[in-house]
Amino acid sequence: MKREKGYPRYFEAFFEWLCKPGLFEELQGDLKEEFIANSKSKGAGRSKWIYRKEVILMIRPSVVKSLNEISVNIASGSMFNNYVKTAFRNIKKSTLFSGINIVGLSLSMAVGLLVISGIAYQLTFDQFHEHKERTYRVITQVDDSYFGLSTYATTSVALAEDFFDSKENIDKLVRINTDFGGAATTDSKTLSLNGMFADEDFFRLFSFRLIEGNPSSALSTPFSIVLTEEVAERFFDGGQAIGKSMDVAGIGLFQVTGVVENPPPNSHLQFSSLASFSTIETLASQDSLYINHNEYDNLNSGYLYLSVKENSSPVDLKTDLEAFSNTISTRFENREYKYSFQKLTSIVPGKSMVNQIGPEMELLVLIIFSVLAGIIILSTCFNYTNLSVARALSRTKEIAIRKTLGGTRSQVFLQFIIEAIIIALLGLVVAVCISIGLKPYIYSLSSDIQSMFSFDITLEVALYFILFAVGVGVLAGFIPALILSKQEALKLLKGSDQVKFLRFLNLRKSLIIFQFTLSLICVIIASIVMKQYEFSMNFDLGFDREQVLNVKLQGADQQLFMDEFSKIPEIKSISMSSGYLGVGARSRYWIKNDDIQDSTVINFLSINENYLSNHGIALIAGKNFSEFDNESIDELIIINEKFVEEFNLGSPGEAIGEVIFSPKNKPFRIIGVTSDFHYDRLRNPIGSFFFTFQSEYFQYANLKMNNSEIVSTMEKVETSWLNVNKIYELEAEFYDDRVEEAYSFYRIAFGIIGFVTTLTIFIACMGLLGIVIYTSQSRTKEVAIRKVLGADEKGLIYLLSRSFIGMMVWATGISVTLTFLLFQFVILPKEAYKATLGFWDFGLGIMIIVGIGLVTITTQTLKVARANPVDSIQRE
Amino acid sequence: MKETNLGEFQEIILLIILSLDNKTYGAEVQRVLKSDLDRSISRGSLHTAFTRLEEKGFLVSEIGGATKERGGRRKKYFSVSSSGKESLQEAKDIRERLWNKIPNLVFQNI
Repeated sequence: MKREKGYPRYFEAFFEWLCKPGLFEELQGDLKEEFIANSKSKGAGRSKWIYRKEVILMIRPSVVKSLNEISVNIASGSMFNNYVKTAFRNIKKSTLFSGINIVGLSLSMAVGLLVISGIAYQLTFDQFHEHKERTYRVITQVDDSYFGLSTYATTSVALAEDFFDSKENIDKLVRINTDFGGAATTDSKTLSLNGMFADEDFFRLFSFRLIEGNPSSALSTPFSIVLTEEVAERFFDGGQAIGKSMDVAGIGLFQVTGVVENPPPNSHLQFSSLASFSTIETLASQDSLYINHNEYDNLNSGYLYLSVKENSSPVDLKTDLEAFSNTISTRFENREYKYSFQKLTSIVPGKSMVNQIGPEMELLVLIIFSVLAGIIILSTCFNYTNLSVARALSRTKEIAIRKTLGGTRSQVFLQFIIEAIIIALLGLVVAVCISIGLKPYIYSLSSDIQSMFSFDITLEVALYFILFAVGVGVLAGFIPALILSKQEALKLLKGSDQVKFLRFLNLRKSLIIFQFTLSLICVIIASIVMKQYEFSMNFDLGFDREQVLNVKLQGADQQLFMDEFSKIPEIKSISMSSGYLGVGARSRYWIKNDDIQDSTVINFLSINENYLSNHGIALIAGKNFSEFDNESIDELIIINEKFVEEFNLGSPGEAIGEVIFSPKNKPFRIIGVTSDFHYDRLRNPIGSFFFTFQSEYFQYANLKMNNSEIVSTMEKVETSWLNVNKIYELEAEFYDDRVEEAYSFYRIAFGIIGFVTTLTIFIACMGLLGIVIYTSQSRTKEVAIRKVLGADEKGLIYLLSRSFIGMMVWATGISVTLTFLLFQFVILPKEAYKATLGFWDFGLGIMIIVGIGLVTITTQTLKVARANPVDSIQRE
Repeated sequence: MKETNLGEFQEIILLIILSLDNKTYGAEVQRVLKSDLDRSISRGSLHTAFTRLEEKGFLVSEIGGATKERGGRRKKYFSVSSSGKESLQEAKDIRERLWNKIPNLVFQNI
């Protein structure tokens, strides 16, 4: 039949499916006649609608097939049982194949499951708020002539008064300021507390549940504080919290007015206490930290959340706000502000912004992960197809007999699809186990992952899993089912030689080359990453970090600290510093360089007199800070050799006594020169660097230990810490661990790449296995005749494996070239100090993979080559 | 039990078929219902009526030839059987008898 444009074909098909077969011809004819007449008199659109209406009205007992007839057509109960039974029999019969398929599918499905559960969890973020559909956050886009364009999650809270208060369709408006926290003292104890200031409508805008206290007034009066359950428990040990007072250092004396449930982990707002925003207003009127909290150029810690009234749209508000942004921007010379709304539910996952209030997850990252998982799954589906088509060679008779006994094409099709779905569901069971097993591994890669993904299997997620597995089954089984059900019974019975199942051999071969290339690239990258990691860890940074324990001071008195800790005999010496060297964290300062008539940015560290000896940094000229007790010590600096060179100060000895200036003409006198060391991560080369002695910047104490019992020393350190700082818990870590942490990127990358590598190797081998079986099985007769005519086994294996070995060579060539180019021109140039790549970095991985591939090939070809020729020829 | 009563809709269908030379098919009946009686009846409910009438033996059907404007599908022609005609006649007689009993006065003021 000719295809007619604008004819409701789907409805016709639906009608045909629905209608009793005896009636269809008459009724459809009438409907069509009416349709044609109508399209002439009433136009195409109307007549289509009339047609559809007519079809719907056909659903009546006298026209529609009985339920029985419909279900027989799809799969009657007993037929379905039969499919399941044969599927299981087939799975059992060829354990190897089914095993490979199930394991392959389950490995890639495990990746899919992790992505599904991860995304499903991301989508639950902030969904528990009752008014989420009409709640927005005000965000700020700043176009700065110097720093460029950046988007802030913060905004100026001044907008609340100047703009939103006069707007009618605003329902609730809440200002938040995160500059809250410090040491908090109750009657019985002092502990650290963090949290934020929030307006009184907080509990009416958001659905955080107050356990005790009045939600409408808990945050109204100045110096009220609401604690989370957990914090209340910590401070008051399960006693009554409401009404108690709490002194927060540097802010004031607060009254506890409520206890709130801990914010759920899938909330983008995380806090352990909430103080009333009116506190800020009271404090701002006095001279305090909060004096400029209401300024338009303060985007440090102010957030604005609002909800619009029910049934009102924020569209007008948006245009008004944009206009208002322009008036604000005119107040600033080189900056432009643009305020806009962000829906509460699109904060996480959402765009990346400066000053995020809580956890953030970029939508793009989720998309990239889903695409990667999709590629892996598609690749395994392709392999399933490949393998089952290859295996179908031995199932031709089964299909032929089914067809001879009256099986329709759709029944054979269904049988194969059901088999694929069952394999996918079995794979799902394995995949769930794998993904649960992988969970701790993934968590161990980075602590961020733990806070952003739960990977918990909820009922909803389980439903997605099953749908996903069925989808994978259909996807993988579709082509084999289609091809196999198409074959004619007679041809199938005549013998397998006439059957040309999947002719696109070249396409299949190139896909396998692609898969092998991918896995080779993964192996090479993994080994290079590992090498670079080891290289960085063992690199001589130019200073000694062995046995150095860094203790975060957290406001402890420095003199007290020194006195207390020098009592520990295992500690050789103690120095103080403002930070770490060699881990990528840095402080910078502008220094005028007369030589190039401009200022340059220079890294520095503030240290005390023991630091250099503690870390084995040698002074090659001049003196240490300790010899300048009586001078204004913050004007003295010790520089490195590179500094001497870059500022053209002559020899290290000549540099001593020179004075350099900051852009504001603050003088610095050089008192010493040290040898060069790596103060930054290895990707950056050594530049100019200087040390100052400014005790107010000290953040860490560096304890140099004797080679002794670590555990007992740590106990002593903990005891001493209690005498020095009662508010905060001890935060101490060994320098080596910190350095390792700084290069943990490589470890994470190696972890992920390692996993992906295993997966891709497996997938590639599966694909190879499929194609090898297919080609060698279809050449059994040729091999038999060759054997009869005197060919030996070795020659035959070579004959059968030749093209596959060619494929491996291609894959190796492509992957080596690609990775070499990638590393040589894209990645490694960014690293100033890099491991040199030798033959073995490429060779080992390649040999392993090619080896696995060759084993796969030979096992199959050997089987064919060894077969008794009589058996193969007798088949005729 | 064979039902011999004619419903109003069934009677009209029989009359239409007879008026079309006692040989017609579904779409035609549907068209006449729309144009002459201004009644929009779906082809589905028409089918139900046809089935009912065939069961009662008032209609006989035969499969006709295919025509192009139907997408090559054949028509099913219906004609009124003699028992159908009898039943129509009976219905008409009953009505006539009742009409005759109505005094003329009743219609004078319309």
